[in-house]
Amino acid sequence: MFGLLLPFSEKLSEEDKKTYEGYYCGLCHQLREQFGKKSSLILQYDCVFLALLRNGLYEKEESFEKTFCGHKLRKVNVCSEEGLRYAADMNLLLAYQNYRDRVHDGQRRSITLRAAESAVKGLSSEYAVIAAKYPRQAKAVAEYVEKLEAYEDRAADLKEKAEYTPDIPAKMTGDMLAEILVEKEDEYAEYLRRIGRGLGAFIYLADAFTDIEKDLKTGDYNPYLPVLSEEGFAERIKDYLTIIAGRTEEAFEMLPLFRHREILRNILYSGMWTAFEKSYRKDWNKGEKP
Amino acid sequence: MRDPYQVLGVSPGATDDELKSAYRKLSAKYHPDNNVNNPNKAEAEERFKEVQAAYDSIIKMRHNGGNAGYQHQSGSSDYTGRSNGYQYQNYGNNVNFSTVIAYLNGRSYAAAMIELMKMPESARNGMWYYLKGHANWGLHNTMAAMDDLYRACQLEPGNAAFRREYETLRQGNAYGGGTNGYAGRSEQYGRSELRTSPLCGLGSCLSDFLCEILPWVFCCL
Repeated sequence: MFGLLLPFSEKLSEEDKKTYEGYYCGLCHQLREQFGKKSSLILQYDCVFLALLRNGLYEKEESFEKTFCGHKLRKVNVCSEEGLRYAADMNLLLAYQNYRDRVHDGQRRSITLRAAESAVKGLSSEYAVIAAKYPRQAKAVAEYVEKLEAYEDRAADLKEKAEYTPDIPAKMTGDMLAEILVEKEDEYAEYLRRIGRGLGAFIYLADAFTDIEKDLKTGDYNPYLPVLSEEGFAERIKDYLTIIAGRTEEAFEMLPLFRHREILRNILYSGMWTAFEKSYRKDWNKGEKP
Repeated sequence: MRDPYQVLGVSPGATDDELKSAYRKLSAKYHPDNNVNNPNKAEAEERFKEVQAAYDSIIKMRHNGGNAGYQHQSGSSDYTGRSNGYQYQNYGNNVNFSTVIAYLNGRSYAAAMIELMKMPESARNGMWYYLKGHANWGLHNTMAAMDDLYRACQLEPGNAAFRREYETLRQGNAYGGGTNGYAGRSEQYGRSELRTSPLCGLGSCLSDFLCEILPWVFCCL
């Protein structure tokens, strides 16, 4: 489900591109250091976003270094910074639960997904350590997965328009992400929760839209099934997402944040729409069935 | 509380950036972590809280607390006046929305929703959907709110006020209209429709291509 919070790199300045790479590769290095080499497979864009947001807020010291990457086969910019530790911890938390989510879905899993899953399976004791260190966040994610599963099981039987309530799972996702964004209950917690709620809702709803084609084939639950055939359906979903994104961005602008602001704005105004836009522009969304 | 602008040492006309900059400076100065050895640390903590509260109140006022897009956009939080101005059909029963409206004005959205759901089918006209849309909006049920407002427009096609609100919200302009709204600003960034790796353009495309296809081969290096 995750992996939407990436930038539209064409529109980033050269410097911001390097900074983004610094955090992306920095997170990878942090994961490998904390959880072993295979853990770089579980890296999520959303946690890169988290690291950038955290550093932007607390303005901790960053140090950038160019290192050769055996994965990208070239030198990459790697950032070392204290917030990456939290981002890596949350990355594991989310990946661990994400793996549980996939198993339940029973979808056909790609090679990369299966590799990531096997990487995570071997990390249960590390997961336990993180869960103990951040009980509020761990609880939020575990409860989210349970509640979402239960909701989707119930909702799968309800194909009537009257039961069309994608706001419910969207808000569940928002509540969960709100807790992830809040590392500690400080002066920024309230703003971060607002951002988290908005982002979570956006992520869930955009992701569900891009999953329509796949879910129709596999018969998996999709919140939009009751309204697929309605006129202007895709456009209405885009409208909803625009409103939610607007609300999220508004909350973001309330933060007294300067550092990394342009990268974060790029993600919130543009980058996070990438997967949705690709899906939206497919012909079948314009009235023809897939 | 002292005037928040005075607490932060900025004028009411200060830009958001000036405000944020002032906040960061003062916040760092009085932060408990930075005053551990300060004999006056209790006073520093008081000032820290004061600075917080001042920033919080100004920023929320400027950004409408991030809430209630409907009310802000229309410039009036008084539902009573507007509902009286509408020519909505009375379905024979004395449908009284005043309780719902009072709840909405008081931002008790859940209570408003309960009142609305108590009403019989015969009462569920355009105005009912319009008010339900407002209740859902307050409860952050964005999709339900939009659906309700859309339904209100369908039931009363001649109602220009309903349609105007729907159109405004549609364009993501609840938080400021035109090019300053989310939709407008987003357009300035543009959107990618390709699944481009965010690191594309920084190195060879071949390595990025391999990265997508064979991640586990290299990760053990």
